[in-house]
Amino acid sequence: MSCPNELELSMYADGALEPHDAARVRAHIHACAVCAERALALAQEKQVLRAAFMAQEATIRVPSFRLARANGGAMLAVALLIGLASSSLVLADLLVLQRLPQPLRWLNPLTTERLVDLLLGLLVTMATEGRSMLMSTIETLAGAAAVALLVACAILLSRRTARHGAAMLALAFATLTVAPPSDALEIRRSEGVLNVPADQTIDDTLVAFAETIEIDGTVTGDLIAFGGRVVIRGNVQGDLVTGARDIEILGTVGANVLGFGETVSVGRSEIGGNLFGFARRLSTSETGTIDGNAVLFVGEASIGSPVGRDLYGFAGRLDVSGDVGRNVHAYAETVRILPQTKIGGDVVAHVEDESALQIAPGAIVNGSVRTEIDDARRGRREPGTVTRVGEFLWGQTLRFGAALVTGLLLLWLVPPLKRISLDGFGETATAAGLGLIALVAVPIIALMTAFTLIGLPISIVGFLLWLVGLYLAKIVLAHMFGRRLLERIGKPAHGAVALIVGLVLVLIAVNLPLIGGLLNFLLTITGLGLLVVFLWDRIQGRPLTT
Amino acid sequence: MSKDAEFEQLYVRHYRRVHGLCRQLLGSHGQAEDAAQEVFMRAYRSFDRYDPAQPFEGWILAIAGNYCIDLLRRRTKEASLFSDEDVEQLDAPSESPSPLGLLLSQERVGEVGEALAALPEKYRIPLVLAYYQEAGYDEIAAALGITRNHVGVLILRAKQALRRRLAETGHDASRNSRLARGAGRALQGDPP
Repeated sequence: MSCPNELELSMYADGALEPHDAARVRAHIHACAVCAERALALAQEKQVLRAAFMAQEATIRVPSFRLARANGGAMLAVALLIGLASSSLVLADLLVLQRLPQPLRWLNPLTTERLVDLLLGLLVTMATEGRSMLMSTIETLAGAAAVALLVACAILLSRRTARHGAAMLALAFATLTVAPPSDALEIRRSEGVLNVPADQTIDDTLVAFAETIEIDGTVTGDLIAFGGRVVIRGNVQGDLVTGARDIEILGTVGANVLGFGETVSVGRSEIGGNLFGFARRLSTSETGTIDGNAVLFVGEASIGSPVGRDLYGFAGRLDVSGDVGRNVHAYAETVRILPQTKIGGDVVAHVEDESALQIAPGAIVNGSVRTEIDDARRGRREPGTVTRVGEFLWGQTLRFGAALVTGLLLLWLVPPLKRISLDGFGETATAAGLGLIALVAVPIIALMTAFTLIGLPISIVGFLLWLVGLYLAKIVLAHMFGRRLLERIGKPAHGAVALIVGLVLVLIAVNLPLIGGLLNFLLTITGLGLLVVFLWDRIQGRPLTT
Repeated sequence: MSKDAEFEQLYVRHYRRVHGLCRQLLGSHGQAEDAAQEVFMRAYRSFDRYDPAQPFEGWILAIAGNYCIDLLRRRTKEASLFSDEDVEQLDAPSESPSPLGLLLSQERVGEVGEALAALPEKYRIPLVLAYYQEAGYDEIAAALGITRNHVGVLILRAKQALRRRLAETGHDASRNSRLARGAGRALQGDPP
């Protein structure tokens, strides 16, 4: 009998030959020393290979044992329920969004104005109807927490002009945190009018929530007031922190004023500290005074009252007719210094062109006048069709570039994101549902968390992470689309190529007429859900490794 | 002992093997970690169906093997990982070194590991399933959707490729270690 071939011997050594073939080979080996030696060597080779496999196990770290993972079915049910419940609202919103000409929805599925409205509404609702839900001890810091969130929103609101937003944000927080805690605190709320009459003095800090808040009397501590309309005719000796559609300050405020609203008007009023104003329209009357700085993020600002120190205006239009003790820094489309106005220091205007800064004859500027032309804003006025298309394309290119760089950085930092995937309708729906929950719930949870003092930083971080998540959501999703598409056409790739392909797809999708907004919303919530699932899995004991 | 506690003990005892198998099959540490977690998750879900009379290792490694092959299939997007084109001429004379070449023994285990990692997927996977998961040829054939004989061919080719590679690196390694020993002695003033 001839010697078995190499394959037969190999399979024999592995015990994989059919019984009769194995018997034949075994008989041969007994008679053939060469084959016997080869068979033995093959058996030993198998042992060495096993040892090599085992040897590599020694370096493996055993992660801690975690089992809990989101139950897909339950999650899906919850997601669908919430999705159904909110879909009518969302669709209605999207129809409204559709009328907006700019493709602004890359960053945020909600318009910023709506975000502010939403939060204000939420605060009033919580304050007026949520009494039974919240323990009185945690209610006490509601105002401060709300302000933290509102500051973030206000920054968003004024994003177009607020290039120093981060610094201002920090400043606003600082004013809140530096303020000494009051010894006592009084909370009042009403669904209608909440009035502190002229003959009444509140000897501590007052937190007020109502549709209309009127302060005719005196508050010796701080006043934190949120509602539809806030009118201060009396005297607030501490800080005034207020958010409302309309804010009127006619009385005296001993320290700072932090005001967020559609309109903020400061009449015959004395403000002992700084004025931080976030509003569509803000005006201060010549009969009022501001002893500190005025820092404004507004659409239209008309400053009639004297400002003791500096005036910082981030505005569409800024008119100054009151004296300013030191400098005027303006980031605006138009800046006018009206006649008879005295500026103690410099006037620095960041504007589109020279003519945007007008200093009336008769106005006095003790320091220098500088116009810094903002290239980014130049030529935005009265664009023709070609310019608009060019601008649009340029905007999209910038957006694409930013998303690409962010995406590459993200994938580099967190390589497992490259493998993120959605298989089938179920997973996609679950992710979208989770995303929707995250979209709605995170700000609410952040707000609830903020009700405790320790929770405040957590809530701020949570809110910022939420914003970051919204931005990253579509990038991660884009990478996945890109990867899938390339796999489909038989050119699998991940990383930059997949990201580029995916981003192009997403960018086209969200700019489609009529359905772009809806697609954008769906992409955002799906991507957000994917991120949530991903993070959840990681938290459940899957450390980030490559 | 509760189900969770029992499973946790098994997890701690067998995690490395499962992870190792996933790594050998998928060829990446990061993916192996995710895969190993998923495998234990699946095992946990079907733990009630596990027959304690059977070795747990065999059971969970089978889950791991099947899961990784599914992953690889999805990755390649083909119905079969192994097409018939892979069936090679069985009777072609082998030019690889004899199996003895591997028996340079344990001190070369590290090199063997590297050589394994460098194998093409179509060779590595059946070899890993056979020698690491310790699956039978029939099992491997069923999992990969190929014939039993095809499995034998691929494993043989894998071993031949390993032998060739180790024979190449072996020459370099033995020369380098001789040089190193010589240099060591020279530094210590010993006679060479």
